[in-house]
Amino acid sequence: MCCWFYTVHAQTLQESSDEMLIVTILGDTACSDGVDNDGDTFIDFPNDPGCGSYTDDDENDAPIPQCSDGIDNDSDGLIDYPNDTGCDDANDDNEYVYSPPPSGGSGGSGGSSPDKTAVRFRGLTFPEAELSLLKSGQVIETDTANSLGEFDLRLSDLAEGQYNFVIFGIDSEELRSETSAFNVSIEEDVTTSVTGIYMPPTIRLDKIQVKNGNILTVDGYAMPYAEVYLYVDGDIDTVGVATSSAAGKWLYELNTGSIGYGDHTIRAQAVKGSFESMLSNSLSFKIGLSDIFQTVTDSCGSVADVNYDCRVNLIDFSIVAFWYKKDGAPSNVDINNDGVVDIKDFSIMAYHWTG
Amino acid sequence: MYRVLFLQLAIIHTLLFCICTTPLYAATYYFDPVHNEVGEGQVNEVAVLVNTNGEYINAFEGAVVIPDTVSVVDVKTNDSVVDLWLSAPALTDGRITFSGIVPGGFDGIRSAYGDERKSGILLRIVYKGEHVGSESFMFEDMKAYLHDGKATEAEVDLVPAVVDVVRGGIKREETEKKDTVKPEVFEPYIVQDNALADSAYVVVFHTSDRGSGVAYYEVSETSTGEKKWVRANSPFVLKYQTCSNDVYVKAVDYAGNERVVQAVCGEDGRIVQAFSVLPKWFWYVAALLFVLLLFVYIRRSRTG
Repeated sequence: MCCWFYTVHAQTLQESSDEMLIVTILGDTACSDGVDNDGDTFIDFPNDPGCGSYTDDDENDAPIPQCSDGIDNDSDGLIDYPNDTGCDDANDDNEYVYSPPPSGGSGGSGGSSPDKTAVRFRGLTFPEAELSLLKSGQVIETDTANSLGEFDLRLSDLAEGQYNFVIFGIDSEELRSETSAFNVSIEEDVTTSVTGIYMPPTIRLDKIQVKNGNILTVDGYAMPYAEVYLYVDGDIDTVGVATSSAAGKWLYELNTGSIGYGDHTIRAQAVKGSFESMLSNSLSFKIGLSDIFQTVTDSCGSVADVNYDCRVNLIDFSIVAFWYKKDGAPSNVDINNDGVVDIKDFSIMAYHWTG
Repeated sequence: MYRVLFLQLAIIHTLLFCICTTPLYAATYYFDPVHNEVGEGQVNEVAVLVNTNGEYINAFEGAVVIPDTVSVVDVKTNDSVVDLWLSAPALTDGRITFSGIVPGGFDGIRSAYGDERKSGILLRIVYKGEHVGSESFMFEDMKAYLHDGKATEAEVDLVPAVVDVVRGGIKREETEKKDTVKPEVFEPYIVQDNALADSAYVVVFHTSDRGSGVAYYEVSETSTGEKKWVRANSPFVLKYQTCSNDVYVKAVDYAGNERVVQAVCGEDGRIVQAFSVLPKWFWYVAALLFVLLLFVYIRRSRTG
């Protein structure tokens, strides 16, 4: 089972099957200099229709349409018409089903410095995902993925420096995906694009204990039309594969006959084309002598949500920090129940952080 | 001789973990530069970095032992990968101790200028040469925790750094840019929770400043619009135990740039009064009621 691979390129945009993160900067070519060279009100690739790529040095050229250029322009794992669902025909110049939102890079203020110093996150998740983008632990942007699960988040008005960004999504059944973290160095007058983000699927179990040999139903949401692989106990071999629908819904009925008695964990990973998502969060279940179904609990019941407001954020941090290395902490504040409030409790909190 | 050998070992050690494609450790703490030289009475700077070798780490703690040939002038965290400090780096008994977390985890910094993920700075130490001699910056009790929801302790590797204090020496040139940018926008919350500050109304806040770092915070409570500022740390117990006053929080960076924001009552404008822990009086009343009911029950049983 493979994890994420990242490759960072300056001034060039290249992709290969194992390159899933590409960072580009504004460069010197006509299609990457932040200037409307041909006066058509569109600036640079991919906004200017005269630009075939960032390295194109002429905004006037008639480019090859995205849907026949042999490039996965929208990083959804599908290339050109008829494979890419964003393509109406081979002459369609937009693999996205929606137009990329207008931004500082495509006009507006004419490419002044505040607009250029920005960061952009593009990728694929489950359709209509409610996305939250966190900067330094605080929610700074929310958005909804489109009906194909594509998203494009942009932050400008940033000072130069290194930032910790986190993205997660909530599906239509209020299940929260595992977070995806990006530690990015932002430079003045540079728009840093983080693309090819494949968000992990959400996951849910119908039982907390399964009678050996009975069915454990596992479901959730993932990128549409993706294969969802299930892994038990961190094993590299999958125990089952589901396929997500157009809405991203997936479901798998796992026969537990081959899984031994005792405690186990299960995770999911969505694969679409040659791209793999990050692994989902890990859920625990037990193989025993009888079935015990999940009770309908508050979906926000994270152990780190110490004030029970369905979020894990600065308020929870403040409460736990109040008891840091002090005696007599309330039991819920001692997150790992080891009798002391220390950095381990905060590590668990950082994992469950929602902002 | 010992110093040369030590330096060689430190450099080889550093090169090995940089070059090695299969990391032995989940986190390597080291200094940059690994060999420092400062004139007696002059000031220099060394950074404390972490290389997570591709693993996601979300909590760091430990101490840097300061050699007695130098004194600490300042500790900077403005470009730290740590978002929230439990114990901000502070000098105590010749050691700079620290403890902090990164919500979401940290696995290296991506930039527009390279393929690899770079190490992250935890803190930077500005120090002054006091006595001629060759000593080392050392690590002590360093720990790192995996971003796995279980606080699994990661294997750590420690690489110390040599500092030579010499007579004369080259005066360090100040190359830092002037910070003209305000601290980042933030959202303080007014909260009341039984597990926090004896159930008092408090305002909690946090922000960062990439230029020079946040120097301090101030809080103003007003019902008239006139702001009177007092120095504050989070959580700050409000003077007026209510959510009806306007509460403002000011973050000031080391260059004097200020950011003022208004606190909201809890999240989304509602006061957070989640009773994460039932108050003591609840248990007293419950116990009293129980005894009373028991007493009534026993009396009725006897008379009946």
